[in-house]
Amino acid sequence: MDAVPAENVPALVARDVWKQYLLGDVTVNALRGVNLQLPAGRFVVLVGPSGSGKTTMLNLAGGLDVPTKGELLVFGRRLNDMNEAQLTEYRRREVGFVFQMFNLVPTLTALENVRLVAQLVGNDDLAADTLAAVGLAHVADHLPSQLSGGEQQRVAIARALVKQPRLLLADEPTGALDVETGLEVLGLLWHETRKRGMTVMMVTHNTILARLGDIVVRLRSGQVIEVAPGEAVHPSELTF
Amino acid sequence: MNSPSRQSRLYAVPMLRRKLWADTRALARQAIALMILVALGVGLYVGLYGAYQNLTGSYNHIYSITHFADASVLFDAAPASLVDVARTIPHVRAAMGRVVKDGSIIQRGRRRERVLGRFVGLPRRRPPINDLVIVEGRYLAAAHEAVLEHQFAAENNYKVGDVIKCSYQSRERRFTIVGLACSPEYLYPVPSKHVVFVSRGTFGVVFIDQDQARQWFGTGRRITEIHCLTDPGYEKEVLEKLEGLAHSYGVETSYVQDDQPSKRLLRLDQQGFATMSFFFPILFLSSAGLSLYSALGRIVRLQIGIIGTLRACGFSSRQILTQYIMQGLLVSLLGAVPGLAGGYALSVWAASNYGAVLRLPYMVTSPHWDTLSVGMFLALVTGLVAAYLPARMAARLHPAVAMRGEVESPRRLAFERRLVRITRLATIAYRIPVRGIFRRASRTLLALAGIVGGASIIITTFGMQASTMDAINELLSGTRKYEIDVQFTSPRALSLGRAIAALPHSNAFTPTVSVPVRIKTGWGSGDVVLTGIEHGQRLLHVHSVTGEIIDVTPGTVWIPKQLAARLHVEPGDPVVVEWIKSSRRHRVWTTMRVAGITDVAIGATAYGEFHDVRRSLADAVFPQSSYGGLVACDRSQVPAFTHRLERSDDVALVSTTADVEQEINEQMALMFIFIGILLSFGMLLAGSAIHTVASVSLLERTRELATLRTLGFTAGAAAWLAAIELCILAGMGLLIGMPFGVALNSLYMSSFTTENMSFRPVLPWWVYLVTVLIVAALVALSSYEGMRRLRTMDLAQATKARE
Repeated sequence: MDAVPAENVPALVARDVWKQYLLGDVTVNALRGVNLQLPAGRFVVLVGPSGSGKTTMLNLAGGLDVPTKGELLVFGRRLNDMNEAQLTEYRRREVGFVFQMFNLVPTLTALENVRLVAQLVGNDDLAADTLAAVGLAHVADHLPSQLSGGEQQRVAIARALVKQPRLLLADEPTGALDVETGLEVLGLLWHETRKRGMTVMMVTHNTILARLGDIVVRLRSGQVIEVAPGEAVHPSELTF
Repeated sequence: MNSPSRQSRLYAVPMLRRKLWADTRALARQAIALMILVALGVGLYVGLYGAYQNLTGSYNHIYSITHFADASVLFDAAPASLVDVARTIPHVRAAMGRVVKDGSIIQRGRRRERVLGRFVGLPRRRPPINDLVIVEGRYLAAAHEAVLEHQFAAENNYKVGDVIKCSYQSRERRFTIVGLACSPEYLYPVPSKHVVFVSRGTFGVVFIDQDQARQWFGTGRRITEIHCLTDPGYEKEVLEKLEGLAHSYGVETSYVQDDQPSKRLLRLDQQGFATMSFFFPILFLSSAGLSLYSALGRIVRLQIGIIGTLRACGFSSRQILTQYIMQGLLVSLLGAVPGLAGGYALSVWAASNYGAVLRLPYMVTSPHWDTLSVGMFLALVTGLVAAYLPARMAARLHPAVAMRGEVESPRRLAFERRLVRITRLATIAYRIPVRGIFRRASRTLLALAGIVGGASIIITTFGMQASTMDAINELLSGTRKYEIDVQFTSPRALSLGRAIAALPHSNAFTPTVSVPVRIKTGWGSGDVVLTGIEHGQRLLHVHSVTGEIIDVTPGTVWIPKQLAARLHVEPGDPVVVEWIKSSRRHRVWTTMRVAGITDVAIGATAYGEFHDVRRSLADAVFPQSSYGGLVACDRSQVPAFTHRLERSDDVALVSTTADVEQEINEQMALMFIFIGILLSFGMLLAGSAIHTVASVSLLERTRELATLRTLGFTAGAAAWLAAIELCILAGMGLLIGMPFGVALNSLYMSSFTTENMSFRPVLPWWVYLVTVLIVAALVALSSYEGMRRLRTMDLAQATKARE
């Protein structure tokens, strides 16, 4: 029952979201009453030091975890009340993930990794094109162990893109790459998601990378301390 | 100031030890599974070999204190002075002559009123050879006294002070039982080497005063057996001389101690324990070794960065090698200790139970330190061998390379590339489990070894049960179409047959005549009982090797397949059939043509035509031959018939099919316990291998499976991928394991083949089905456990886990 036009629905709405973990006997507040509204179709960068709650925020948005308290809506859908089957369906249809360590299936080739997910959502015919779009058509038959880190991350991006999700979540996507490769990968991500009009939430602890975002969300100690418009610069313009 | 090496010895090594324990604790579930495998392997070795040693020790003790004969010769009848000649044979330390005859024990009011009796004449003072262990009462002191074999006494409820009535060729005697005894010749109470099943209740050995025996049997001062003690190693040499000595007196049989009928059957059982004590532990320890190898390989891969760091910190490759070898040894040691304790308990339990069935008066159950030491050694060697390769891999890692993480070898990459091409036919999702099988060779090998081993044990165990039951069914239902087997006191009583056939509820009667014979060809000779049956009779359905029921014709003989193979005879060949006790002075023999070869699992009997066997052999040697018949009657009338027959003076012995069945069932009870234990071990082995593989697979793929879930696969779908791999491995394991099990079953059953037994390795369809179902159930259980873990997996954490 989506009465509001899709483009007008915020990508993410967090209302007083808390996330608590039990670490032994100690309760850790990973998120403490986060309130946030992110418009759709933007490149959002979440920055903050270690332990600020940015990855927790990403995990909640991706349906990998559920808030302890508060309300979380992604494209108008309330995640709090979803059961495991609904969360799986949500992840399958709405979300694409790009991990720091790529997380490719080691026994499948680059193309097969993309096709695996493409087949899951019925987009098998897009797999080869998507891999080509990330510039890896020539290594389609290579296993992950035969690819460089940058190439592996590009496959991971292709795998995320092929589902054509509305929300793409990237957790330190350049964390395992050297600066140059990292920028190349970010360039690809930046370009391809914009081309497809996807909402991107990218987590980084690197403040320079925050310049990429249309919106920059700063977190500290589990709280949002600032939501500001970003510079939206192209990764190629970044200097370290 | 201490040097760096000194410092490392002082502080770093203890820290490494702490790491060792911490690593073992971190992998608690896997470590426990490995310890169980080691414990099972060691436990089975110590248990089964210990049981073998306990039984051997117990038997040897009895043989030793009773001075069990080293060489014996049994013949028709010879002067007692022959013993003096036997004493002069070189290397004979002692010789003793005895008179022994078979008759019947008549026991009115007991369940069986007439059973087979063996009457052994012994001197008033304790015999120097084949003495008795008196378990109750005392030894013989007077002519009217008897000592009774204690297993028979227990089965038939005889007590010291009771009177036992014995009959030899219709001459009856009553003896007062003054003692119950265990005899080294009847620990496994069988009357002759032709009998396979123990006849505790229907075969009684009565030891009586030898003068009384001579008078009763009418043999005068003649003897029928000579037993000798020899110098060690000269048994066979002495036996040959004894045979030569008794040759003129119709040698019935001769044997060294190891071939004595009772001891031979005991040795078969002991051999079973000994064979299994090596065979099953090898399966378990191999599986444990592979599991350990796989688990340590995984630890090394997981700790590759740590290894690099340790090397960078100055730890030598030798220290790293030692560290991971110690890990293997620690797991082995922790598994070996309960294994040794459990094995010792099993050895005592198995030997005691077995000994209780035989009512052994002495039971050795002391710990065998040599076996325990070998058990510990085997466990440590397993740990050492399994840990060496992963440890070497860890030790050889270059610090810089190690800190960068795992590096695939070019050979491995080439193999994986080929695999990618080969598996293109499968759908994408299914390529993951198919390729996963080849991803870790050790994991695959472990699964295969475990499933092959488990399936083999399951098939061999069920096969053993099925083959034995097949043989028993053949004996009880396939061959015997009668209810009662009766032996008469003389050929004249054969006329009773017509009267029996005419009795109400009697369905049929066919006469039989049996003579112990030696069948001779140019290849050698073999001893069997030749039974004469009527042409066209319908009560005995003996099958030939070609499957049809045999029929007898005059001038021909059907020979059991074991003997035919030994004598190299085929249908149509002539053979000499000679009364077993033929001597130079009294030779009874005939020539017959081989009519065919019989295929009977239990017992070695040759068959000829009734009148032909009578005329050519039996009548000439009576009373050494026996006349009788087979009676078919209504089952409900068997007890009445039996009692009626047993009360007739013309009847020497009555044996019913129900009696045989009961004796077999009593013996099988122990076998079923044994089968149950083996089956449990087989399932444990397969289960533990499958579970270990499932766990390792899940652990190694935590990130991969979590990623799949993150990408939108359900927990069930992700678990299904892991389950498919397990199913493929199980299928491969079964494909190898089933033929392997069939071969093993065949080999195992053939180890029980003797002159009197030849088990067909029977494997009905349900054995395969049950094996597949058991393995499938184990796979399903492990997969369910995997799915449960996948459902509760913390995806956020798991996607960051190290592979």
